[in-house]
Amino acid sequence: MLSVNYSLSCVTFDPKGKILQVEYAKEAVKQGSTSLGLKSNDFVVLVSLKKSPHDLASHQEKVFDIDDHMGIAIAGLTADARYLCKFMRSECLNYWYTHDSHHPTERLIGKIAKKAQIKTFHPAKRPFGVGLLVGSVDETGTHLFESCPSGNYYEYVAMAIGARSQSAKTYLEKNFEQFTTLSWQELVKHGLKALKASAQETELSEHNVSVGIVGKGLNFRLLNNDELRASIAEISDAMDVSE
Amino acid sequence: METHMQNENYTNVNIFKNAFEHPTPKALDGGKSDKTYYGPVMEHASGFNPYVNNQGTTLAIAGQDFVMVAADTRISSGFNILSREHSRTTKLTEKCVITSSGMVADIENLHKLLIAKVKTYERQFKKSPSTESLAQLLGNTLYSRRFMPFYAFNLLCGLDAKGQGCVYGYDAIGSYDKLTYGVQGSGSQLGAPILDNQFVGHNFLVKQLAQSLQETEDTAKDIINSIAERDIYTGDQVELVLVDQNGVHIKREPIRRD
Amino acid sequence: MEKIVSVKEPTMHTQVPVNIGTSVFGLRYKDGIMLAADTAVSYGSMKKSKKSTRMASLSDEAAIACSGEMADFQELQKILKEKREGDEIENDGATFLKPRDYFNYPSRLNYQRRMKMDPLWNGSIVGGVRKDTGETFLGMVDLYGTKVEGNFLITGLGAHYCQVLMQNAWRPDLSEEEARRLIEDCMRVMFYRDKKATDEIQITKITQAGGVEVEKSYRIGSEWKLEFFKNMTNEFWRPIRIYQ
Repeated sequence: MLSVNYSLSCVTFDPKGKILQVEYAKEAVKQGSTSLGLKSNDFVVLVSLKKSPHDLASHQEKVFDIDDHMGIAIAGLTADARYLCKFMRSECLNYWYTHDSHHPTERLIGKIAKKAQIKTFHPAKRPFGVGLLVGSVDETGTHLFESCPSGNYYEYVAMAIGARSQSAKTYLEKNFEQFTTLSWQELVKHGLKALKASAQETELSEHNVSVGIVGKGLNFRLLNNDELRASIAEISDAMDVSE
Repeated sequence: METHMQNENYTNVNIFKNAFEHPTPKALDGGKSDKTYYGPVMEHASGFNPYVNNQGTTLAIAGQDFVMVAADTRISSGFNILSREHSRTTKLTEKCVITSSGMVADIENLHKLLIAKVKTYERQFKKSPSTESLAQLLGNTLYSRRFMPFYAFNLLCGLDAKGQGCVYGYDAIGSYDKLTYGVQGSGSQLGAPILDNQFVGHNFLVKQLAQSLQETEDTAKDIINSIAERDIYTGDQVELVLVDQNGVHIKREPIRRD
Repeated sequence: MEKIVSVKEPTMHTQVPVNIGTSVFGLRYKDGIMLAADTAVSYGSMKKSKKSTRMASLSDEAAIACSGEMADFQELQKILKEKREGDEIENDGATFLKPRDYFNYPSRLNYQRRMKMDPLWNGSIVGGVRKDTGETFLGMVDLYGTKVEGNFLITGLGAHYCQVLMQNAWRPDLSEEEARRLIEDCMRVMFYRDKKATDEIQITKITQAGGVEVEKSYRIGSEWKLEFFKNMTNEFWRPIRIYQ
């Protein structure tokens, strides 16, 4: 039986029990350039490799701030990410407006997952083609969540998504145990090293790397070019010595 | 018809008044039809008034490269003091603050609305809105509630595009003007002439206007202190907010508490 | 005689409180927060109930005491309960729990209702102590949505009579007995002077160790054989005025 019979919309399972449109949407995430996140007890760091479609073009943004306590790194369709980003920002503002406090992380991830899930069982809808890594601090501590096109979400101490993310994941798996007590500067270094593993021949620079940090008593912000250049230089030196 | 018009006072009418004291026929549709109604007119003893004035004074003075905001921290409900440490001034951007007097529930709502709009702007354009833009935004926001106004009298203070201090003064429904100094709230009538005297200087034989930051701060503090002498709704603490190139600096000093 | 015209009026919400509770008190003391209210509910100048509860625990960390319209207090309780249960069934660790939430949310609710010209006619005092940090919270919110925080708060007529009593006697290190005595003193003044108050009072204690304890109501003693009451006001004061 041709798989095309089952792959044109979300209303039909294939004989293996998969919804192919959702599987394809997950492929879209894997096509996107690498994004990764890692956290300690007090900080969360999001690191992304930015791509530019052309030498003459600027790089696509990969890390977005949502609120003072939250940011996201994306892999997949940037346009879908911007839609979700706008949704998250307005949810956070609305929550702050009524409760005078930050939006609880898992509640917001739940809202996104609900949105994503609706797109997986509706005939006239297309699942989101984007995976999100959400880094945040709230009453219950630091959090790193991944949200999938399928409507699933998971919590991690460290995770990488996107193209060639396996190498980054391997690095993170080797090192995650030491993350718990690290400062954000140290986390950024680990993040960049993990990204370097995935980036392969691409040279990391302040132009193609985005780093977002958030922590207890530290509002979410993107590192500026100087900070990025310094951090990248540091890990390059360290790696040269060790290798 | 003439007689109906004389009895048109609808507010706080005793329900028995029309029935027994003034049994004048009264058309409830304002005399448009020729039908008349003879029974007692049922009206609520008192309606809900959604507005309350929590009083307090705030003033702002624009300098060459700074703005000095001075406000008291007392909020009242009638003759009761609700709080002695309520801040009237909210930071909107690194170069702009809003300070308001009026109804604190409305003011809090207004300030939150502006903060939300500033955040949205900052994310969209990757820069903070200019003080001039915020002045127009505040005017529009206030006017959008033309028919149930924010009970808030505002001063929007900040540095303009050239880095000069500026103050925008508003009424409750959004009419605004650029000023060099302004005062709002329960002590505005007491404060305005002192500000005129000190910062225009028509009455000086030798004009010596406060120019420096220190002089301006001292004068602002003096004025709030002077207002607190005579205005019962002003007192407790003076909150001084300085906006300059380096950002927004806040400090408080005690003033008379009676 | 002409026909009586039926007049269609625009929808009017309750604009006047009917069953009214009088002042409530809240204060910080050494171990946490104490809320107090008497147990009378008045209907005009008649005491409709002399044994009503005007306070409620909202969670194991926070409690609320309300003056004003009792129906609106019950509505508020219901709304807060539904909000909390709604959060709990989400089961995402973001339960609406912290004492401050029970303050901020009613203030926004009251502000929204005021905008609809359909207010919840209450002055409420919310108190709480966080179990994890021991941080205490005491706030007052009125029917306009005004938020006030402080070390001792009073709503209604009590604010006129007892503000000074509280101001003079309050210290951050009040023991439980001292706090209780202070509140009883205030309540006694209210009983003497506020016709809508009664001498039966109820206290809620919120402490880090004990959580919320809504106590049973009890009567505070009152003394009516004082010279002041026996000789009537003017007779009592006149000699002082003369001999000063």
